Amino acid sequence: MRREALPPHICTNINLFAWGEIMNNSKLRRRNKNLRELPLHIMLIPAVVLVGIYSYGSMAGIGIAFQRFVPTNGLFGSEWVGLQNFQTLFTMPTFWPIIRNTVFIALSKMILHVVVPVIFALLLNEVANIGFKRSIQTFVYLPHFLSWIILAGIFKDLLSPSSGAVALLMSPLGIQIPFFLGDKFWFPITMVLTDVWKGFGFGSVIYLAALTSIDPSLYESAMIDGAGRWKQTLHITLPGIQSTIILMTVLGMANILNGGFDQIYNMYSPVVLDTGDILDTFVFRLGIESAQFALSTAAGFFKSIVSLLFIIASYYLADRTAGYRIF
Amino acid sequence: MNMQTSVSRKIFMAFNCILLVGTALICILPFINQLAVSFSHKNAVAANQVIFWPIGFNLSAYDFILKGDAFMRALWVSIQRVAIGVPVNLLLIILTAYPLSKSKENFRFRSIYSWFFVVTILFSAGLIPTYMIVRFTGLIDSIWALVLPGALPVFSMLVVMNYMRSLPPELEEAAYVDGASHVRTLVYIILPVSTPTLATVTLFSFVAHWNSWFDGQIYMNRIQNYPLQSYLQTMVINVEAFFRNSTNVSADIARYIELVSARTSAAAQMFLAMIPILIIYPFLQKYFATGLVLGSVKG
Amino acid sequence: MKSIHKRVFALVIALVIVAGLAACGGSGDQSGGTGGGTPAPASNNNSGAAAPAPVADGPLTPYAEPVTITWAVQASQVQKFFDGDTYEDNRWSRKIKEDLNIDLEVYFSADISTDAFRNRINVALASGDLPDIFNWSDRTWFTQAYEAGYLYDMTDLYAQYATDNVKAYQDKWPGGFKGASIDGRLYAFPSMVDNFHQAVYLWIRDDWLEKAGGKPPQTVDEMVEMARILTSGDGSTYGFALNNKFDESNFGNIAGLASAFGAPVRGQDVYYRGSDGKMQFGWIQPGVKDALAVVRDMYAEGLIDPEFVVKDGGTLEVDVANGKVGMMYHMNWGTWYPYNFVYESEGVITRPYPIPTQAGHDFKVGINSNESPEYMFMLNANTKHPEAFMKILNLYEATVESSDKADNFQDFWADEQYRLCPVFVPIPTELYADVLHPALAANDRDSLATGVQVYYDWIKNFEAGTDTNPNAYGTWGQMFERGSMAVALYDYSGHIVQSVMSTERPEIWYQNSSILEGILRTTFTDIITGAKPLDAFDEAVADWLANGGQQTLDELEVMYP
Repeated sequence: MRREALPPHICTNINLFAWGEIMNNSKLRRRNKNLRELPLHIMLIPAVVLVGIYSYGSMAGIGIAFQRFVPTNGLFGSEWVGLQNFQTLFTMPTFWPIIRNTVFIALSKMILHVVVPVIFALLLNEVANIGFKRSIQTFVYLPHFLSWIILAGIFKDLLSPSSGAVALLMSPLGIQIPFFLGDKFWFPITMVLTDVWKGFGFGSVIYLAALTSIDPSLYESAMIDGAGRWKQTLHITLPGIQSTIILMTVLGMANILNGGFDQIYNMYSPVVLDTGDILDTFVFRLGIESAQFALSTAAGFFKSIVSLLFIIASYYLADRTAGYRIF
Repeated sequence: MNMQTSVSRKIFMAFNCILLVGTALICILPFINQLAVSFSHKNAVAANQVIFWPIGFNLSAYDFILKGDAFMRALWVSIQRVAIGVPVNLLLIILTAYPLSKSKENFRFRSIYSWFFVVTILFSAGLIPTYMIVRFTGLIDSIWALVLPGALPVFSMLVVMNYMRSLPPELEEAAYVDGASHVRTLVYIILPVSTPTLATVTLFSFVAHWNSWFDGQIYMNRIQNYPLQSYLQTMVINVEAFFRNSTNVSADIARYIELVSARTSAAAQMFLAMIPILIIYPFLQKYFATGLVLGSVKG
Repeated sequence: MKSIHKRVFALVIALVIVAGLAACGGSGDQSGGTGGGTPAPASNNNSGAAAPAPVADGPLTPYAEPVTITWAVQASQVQKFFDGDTYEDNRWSRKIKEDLNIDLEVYFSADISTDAFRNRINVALASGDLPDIFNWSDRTWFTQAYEAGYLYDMTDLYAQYATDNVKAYQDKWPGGFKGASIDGRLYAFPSMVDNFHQAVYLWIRDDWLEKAGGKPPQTVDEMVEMARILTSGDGSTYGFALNNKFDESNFGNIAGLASAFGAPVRGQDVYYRGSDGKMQFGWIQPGVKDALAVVRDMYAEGLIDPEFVVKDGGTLEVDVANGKVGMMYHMNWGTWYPYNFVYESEGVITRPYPIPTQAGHDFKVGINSNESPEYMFMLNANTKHPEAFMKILNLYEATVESSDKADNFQDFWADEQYRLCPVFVPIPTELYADVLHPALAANDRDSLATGVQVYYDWIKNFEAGTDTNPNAYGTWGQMFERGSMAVALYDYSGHIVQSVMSTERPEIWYQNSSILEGILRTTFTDIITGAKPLDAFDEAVADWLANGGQQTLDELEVMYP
C-alpha cells in the first residue's frame, strides 16, 4: 500500500495553489504519479469521512437482521439467530404480494421516467421560440419542486369522486371517474401516473442539456445530405443523447424495489394495501410502527441485496451493449 | 432548418405546440384549483361549486394559518436548512466529482473510491442505526442532523462526474502541461465550463432539502424545530379543534367560523408552503437557462 | 493490479468494520450504565435502592438544590394553553419548580394524534435514547424496554416515597398495577383500570333521531331502516358512518354490529373462553360474518359514504363536525369527541344508546382484561433522581385528586391541563360512575370527594342549561341517567365478555398481531365494498389461523388455563 497517499496530516501544510509550480520545476513529475495524485486524495477526504461515518457507520446496524434484537447496549448484546428473521419474513403471507406490488410500481415508474421525459425533451427541442419554450418549462418543472406531503394533500382533494375537481369537471360529460385512491385496481396506476406527472418535466432537463451539447454542424451536414427532420432525430439526436439515456436507465435500475415511500406513505389507506403496499412502507410499518426492528432490518437488507444485484447486472449490461462505464 | 418549412412540418409544429400547452396545463391546473379553493367561502367549497375560480372571495384562510406562529417557525427552520445544506452538498459534490472524473491512468484509485460512494446508494442501514450514529455524533435536535448525514448526494455527484468526464481532455492536458495544480485546474478551468451541471445538482439538493420530512420528525426533539414539511405532515388541520382551543373568542374567530373550513385552510397552507419555491424558482430557472447556453458553447 | 484491488477492498471492509465498532461502542457508552453489556433488568434494583439521594427525605420535600428532570411530551392539538403557556413553561412546570425545586425539561415532543409520537418513541426504544420520565401505552414497547433494561424498578421507590393517598390506588384498582408489573416488580405507574366502560354504543344526534321518528332502534333491522331515512341520497348526508379502520376501538366501527351477532370484539386484544371452554378470538367468530353481510348491504344501498375506505379518524371527524354523518357505533366518550364539535357548532346534543340487537343472537360486548393499563408512566433506569418521579406524582395527587381547593381541579386538571404534568394519576372519569349515579339521583353533592364534585356540578349545570362548556357536555354524556356509563353498568350487565389475555402474551402475538390484523381488515373491507364475496370471510379466518392465529390461541390456552 502506498503510505503517502493516506495520512492526511502530512498534506495539510502544503499550499495547494503552489503545488503545480513545485511540480513543474521538479523532475519527479513523470516518475512519481503518487505526488500528482495526492491532492486528489485530499479533495476526497471530507466526503470519505462523512460518508464513512454516516453511511458506513450505520451499516453495522444491518447486523440486527441476523439477531433476535433486544434494544440494549449496542449491536453485540443480542442473540444471533442466523437467517431466522429472513425465514419468518419470507413466510409472511403479505411478503410476496408486497414484492409483486413494489416491482410493478417501481418498474412502471422506471420505464416511464425515461420514456416520457425523453419524448417531452425531443418535442420541446423542436420549438424555436425561446420565450414559449421557457414558459412551458416553467410550468412543467414546477411539480418536481413540491414535496409529496403537499402533493398528496392536493391529490387526495383533487381525486375525490364526490368533491374533487376532476369529478366535478367530468360529471357534466356524464363520466363517472373511478375512485383513484380507494380502489385496488386504480391505486397503483394512480401512483405511477402521479409520480410521472411530478417528475417528467424536470426529468427532461437532463436530456435537454444533453440535446444542447450536440454539435450543430452534424445537423447542417445532414440537411445538406437531404435528411428530413425525422431522420435527423433518429440518426443524430437520439445517438447524441444515447449516453445520457443509458446513464439514467442504469441508475434507474437500482430502483427496482423503490416504489416511492414518500408518495405512497402519504396517500395509501388500508383498503389498497393488497395492491398498494410496497416494501418501504412495509419496512416502515414493521420497524417504526410495530417495533419489530429485526424483521424490519431484514426486509431492508433484502431490498439492498436485490438492488445490488440489479445495479451490477445493469452496469455490465451498459458496458457490454453500449461500451459505457459509469465510473 | 429555416429554409425548408414544409406543410407537414407546419402541421407537426402546430400539433406539437398544442400538445406542449396541454401538458403544461395538466401540470399547473391542480394548483389553480387549490388556489381557488383557498380563496373561496367554505360553503361554496362544500357545495362543490369551486373548480378554477374562487367563489365568495376572502383571505380568511390565509389569515387563520398565518396567525398561528407555528407555520412561520417551521418555515424559518426550512430556510435555514436549505441555506446550510445546499452549499455543503455542492462543495462536497465538486470535491468528489473532480478527482473521480480523472481517467484511470491519472488517478489509479478512482474505481475504489467510486465503489465506496456508490455502495451507499444501495445499502442504507435503515433508520435505527442511522439514528444511533446521528446521536453518537451529537447532532440530535440540531440543524446539522438534517445536513451532515446526507452531505454527499451520491447521485448528483455521479451526474457532475459524468459531465466532467465528457469535457474534452485537451482542456486539462493543456493545463497540466502549463503546470497548473489540480486545484487551479478545477477552479479556473473545469468549474467555469461545468455551470449547467452544477446548476442542475444545486436544484437537486435544494429540492431534496426542501422536501424531506421524515428526518425532521425523527432527529428534531421539539415540534418547534420541525422544518416545514415535517410540520405539514404531522399537522392534521382541524379547524374545529383550533376554534375550540382559542381561549378568548374574538372577532377574528367569529369570522373564521363563518368563512374557513378544513378544506380551505388546507389549501391555503399548501399554498403558503409553496411560496418560497415560487419566489426562488424563477431566479433559479433563469440561472439554469443561462447555464444551458454556456453548456452549448463548449461544443 | 489484481493484488492492489484486493488490498483496497480489504481496506474498505476494514473501514466498514471499524466504523461499525465505533458506532456500537458509542451507543454502548450512552446507554450502558445499567447492566454491563447484558440485558439484566434485575440489576436496576441495585442502582435504585442502593443510592438513596441524601436530600430526598419525604414524599413532597423540595430539593435543596434544583434538579432537572427530562420527559417526553405527547403533544396534541387539543391541548389548551392559557396566558401564553407552552409545553416548556406552563402551570404545571411552574408549580413543580415552586413546590419541589425540579426543573422540567422537554426531552422530545411529538404529535400524539398522528403517528409522529409513536414513531419517535419507537426510535427512542431502538436506540436507547430515553428521557427520565416517559408515558406510553404500548405493551410490546413496555416489554421490549424491560428486556433491554431501560426501565427503573420502582417497587421500592413506590413503597418509600408514595403518599398514602397514592398508595391507596393500588388497593382500589389493582389490575393496572398488575399490568405494569413484571415478575412481581413494578416498572410503571399505570392508569387505573376497570374496563366495564370499554363497551360499544350506538350514537345518534338528537335532531336526526327526531327526523327518523324519535325512537332509537332496538334491532339491527330498525337500525338499518333508520340509516335509510337519514341518507339523503345526494351525498350530502349518510345514515351510517364507517372509519376505514372499522375494527379499531374508535368512532365509526363495526364492533357494535359484531356484538349484536354474538361476537365480542375489541381491537386485537380480546381472547376469551367460549361456551365450549376453548380459547376464542372475537373477530373470527361467525357473528362477524353476519355483521359484515349487514354492512355490505348497507354499503351497496348507498347508506355508507363510498369514500369511507380513505377516511381515517381525522377525516371522519370533519364529516361528523359538518353534519355529514349522524349515526355510528362509538365508544363511551362520544360527547367528548367528536360529537363535541356538533354540539359547539350547532348546539345539537348527541346521545349513546344500547346497541341494537338481533333476534336469535345473544349479544356480547368485548372488553379488555383489567390488567392492560392504557397509560404507563415509566422511569428511566439511568435516571439520577428516581424519587423525583414519585414526588411529582404525589404533588399531582395532592393538587388535583385530594385537594380541598375546588379551583385546583379547574386550574390543573380541566381543559387538558393535567397532560402538562409528566406523571399524573390517570383515573378515567368513568370509574366514578358508581358513586356519581346515586349522588345525582339523590341530589347529594356533599358526600362526594372534592374532585368528583366538579363532575357533579358539570352534569347538574349542563342539565339545567347553565353550563355549556365542553367539559360539562363531555361528562354529562357519560354520566347522565341514560349516559354511556349507565348503559354499560345496567343494560349490558351479563353480556360483557372480558379478555383473558393479561400481561403475559405469546411471542407470536407480539410478532404477528399486526399482520393478522391486516389479513382480517383487508378482507373485511373487500367484503363491505363488494370486491369479494361474503365467503371470503372463511378464507380470511383460515389465513388468520394459519399465520400465527392458531398458535396464539394454543399458547394462550396453556398460558391462561
